[in-house]
Amino acid sequence: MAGNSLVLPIVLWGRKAPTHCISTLLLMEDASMIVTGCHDGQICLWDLSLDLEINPRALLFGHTASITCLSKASASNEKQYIVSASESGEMCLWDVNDGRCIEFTKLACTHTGIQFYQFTVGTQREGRLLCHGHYPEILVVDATSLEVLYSLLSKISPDWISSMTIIRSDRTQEDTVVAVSVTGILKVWIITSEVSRMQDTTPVFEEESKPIYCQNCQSISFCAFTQRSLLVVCSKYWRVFDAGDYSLLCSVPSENDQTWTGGDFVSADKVIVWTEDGQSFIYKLPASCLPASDSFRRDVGKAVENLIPPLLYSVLDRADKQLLICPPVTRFFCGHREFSYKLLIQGDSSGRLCIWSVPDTLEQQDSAKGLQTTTSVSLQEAFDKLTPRPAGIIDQLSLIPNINEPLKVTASVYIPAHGRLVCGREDGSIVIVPATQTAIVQLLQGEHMLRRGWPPHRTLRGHRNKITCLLYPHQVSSRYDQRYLISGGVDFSVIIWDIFSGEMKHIFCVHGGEITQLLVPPENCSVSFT
Amino acid sequence: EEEFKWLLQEEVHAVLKQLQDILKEASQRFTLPASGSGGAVKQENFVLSTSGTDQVKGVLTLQGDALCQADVNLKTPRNNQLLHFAFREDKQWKLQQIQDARNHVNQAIYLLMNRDVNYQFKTGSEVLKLMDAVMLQLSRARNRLTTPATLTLPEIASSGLTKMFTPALPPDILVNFYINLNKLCLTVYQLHVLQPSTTKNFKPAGGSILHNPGAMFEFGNQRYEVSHVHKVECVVPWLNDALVFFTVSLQLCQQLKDKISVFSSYWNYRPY
Repeated sequence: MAGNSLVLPIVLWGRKAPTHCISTLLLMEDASMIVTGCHDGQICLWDLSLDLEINPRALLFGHTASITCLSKASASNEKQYIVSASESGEMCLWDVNDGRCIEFTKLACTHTGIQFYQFTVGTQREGRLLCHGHYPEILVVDATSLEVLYSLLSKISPDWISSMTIIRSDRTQEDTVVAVSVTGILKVWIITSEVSRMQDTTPVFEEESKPIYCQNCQSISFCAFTQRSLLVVCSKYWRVFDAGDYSLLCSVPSENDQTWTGGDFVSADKVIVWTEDGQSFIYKLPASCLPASDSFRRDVGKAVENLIPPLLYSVLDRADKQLLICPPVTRFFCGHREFSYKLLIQGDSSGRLCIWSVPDTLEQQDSAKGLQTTTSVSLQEAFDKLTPRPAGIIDQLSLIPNINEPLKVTASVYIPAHGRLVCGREDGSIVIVPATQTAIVQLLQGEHMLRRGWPPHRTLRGHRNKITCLLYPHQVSSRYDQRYLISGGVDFSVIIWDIFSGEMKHIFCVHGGEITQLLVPPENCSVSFT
Repeated sequence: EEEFKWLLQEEVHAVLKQLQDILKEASQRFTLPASGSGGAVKQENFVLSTSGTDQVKGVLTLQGDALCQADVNLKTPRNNQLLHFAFREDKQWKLQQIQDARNHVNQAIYLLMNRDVNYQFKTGSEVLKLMDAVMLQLSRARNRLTTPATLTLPEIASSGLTKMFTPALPPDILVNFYINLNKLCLTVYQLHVLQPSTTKNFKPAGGSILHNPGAMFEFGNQRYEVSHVHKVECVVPWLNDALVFFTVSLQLCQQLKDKISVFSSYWNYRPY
């Protein structure tokens, strides 16, 4: 665990999967992997097989706060890079093949959305990340160094950008960034190769700024099929706009107090929109929204609220009505692998991923039945399937006769100087084990697994209830005696132990409540504690 | 058990309602030009001065989150010359701190609105999660007002602010505007050029909210030293109100979290 120069962290998960309350998700372009970010700041990589079987592969640690967005960060298929951003302004660049963190930076502001875009600089294609968040600009960041190169500014009423999309049009040969600000103003920047050459000489202002009166905009997406329309989803309605002059084509309010959280185009004439509670609906667009139709743009300028809402096509129901502690995240992806795919992926607070494969030919269905989930798996289910089951650090010492669940370890401290690991448990006992031997027992299988009482350990009993914290003060400051170990518990007491003899030195019961934390005062502090 | 049900069904909504009311009140202070009524946001004048000296005097006009007019009078200590600059007619300076704070409050309100009376909370952790999200937004809003950006002197010198004045600012003067707590602040730096032959050790100053006399920096191939710093400020009453509302709401959130935690800890720690 600790060599002289190299420290190798080893994680033993135990039987319970770590909590993974999904806050954002991404499907890699070749559909071989799903990446999820969670509220605790970890990123999980899930392999996706051709027949849509999901298997969690790795957890990436790198952020200290909730993950706000994920984006791919490389164009070529040889490198599979993604970028992640967190609530605290951190940004990490990862190689998802081996889980390495390649680059890390921290800005003062939070990003809420990132899009990858390739600029043509001279003859080369340069990867850029367009970021928006809790600031009024769109930052253009180098995709390999994560350095901020310049920003796209607003001249007219600049405000935070709530969502953005990049429009690549074959007709105009001009790529544009279309974004909606929190005050409901649609802004357009033209990003051609010139822009990237102008670096920090002149500010880049928006080409167009148009109020579209969309409060609480959740997502904006461009129709890749017709390249003529935009879908803007707000919490209480969704709207379709012409991607040429941004005129409103249709507006559909939500029913029964539902709150929309996003949407996308499924095909040229269908959109999928999902709600905060995890339901999704597919709508067929009216003729006035379809460029192929004669009546396209017929209703522009009319009172849009009078339009008949497009037909409700089919309902995708959530797999199980399990209680969730926060709204699930839904995203729609379409592209090509060995076959073309259209997948709706949802991740929820229990670490569960659900996939619906959306068929190309959707016929009017019995709306009660809806489209069935194709696959669904949670982190816990994946853990349960493993044999041998994932090991906890002192599992073999924690089994209680007649009870399936091992005793929970509630606090721990590692003492590298003695190679000891100290674990406090929920029944108030403390177990001291040699760290490397314990790790060997768990990770390598052999006859020693069957030996009783192995590895050699010492149990300290004194607390009457759960241990909440452990402290080995000598590790923090050498003024403390090497022998002392301090523990605190929910039974209001603090105990000083001698780790060599296992003796209880002192018990302090003066506290009027549960002990939550033990700290060593700073060196220059005049108060001393023993 | 019964009591917990009551807490989830009744008490939580009562607190959420109260929170919403307070935050809406707070949000109204950050009057928004685009919201509803449509009318132009009223302009407020603030006179910035210090009690002791009258070397710098500023009259600033605040419209929502933007400074639309500024008049700065500066008496230079060297020759008692009186300098006067004002914003150009067509220019406004946006105080990003106010806009950010307002957006954070609005996000908090949005989170709360999605969980109105019709929503049934089923678990305590659901409420805790919501409270965490709301508190994060609120503390961000408060932090935006309480901690102005730390800027380096070259950043101040190159910011668009220097180009907004008429008559143009002389090259040896830098100005910066920011919000600190409930106060609108103006700092004026007077500089002198460091000759290349100077024996002084050149050490560029880092980022800071307020730089002290003696701070040095390089800008446009020229080295400067700050010779005088003048700071004047004025209390903005509605910012004060907003900050009080933030604090009260944060307290309410924490109290609700505590109430729920009491139950969960009671259930967890049942003796074996």
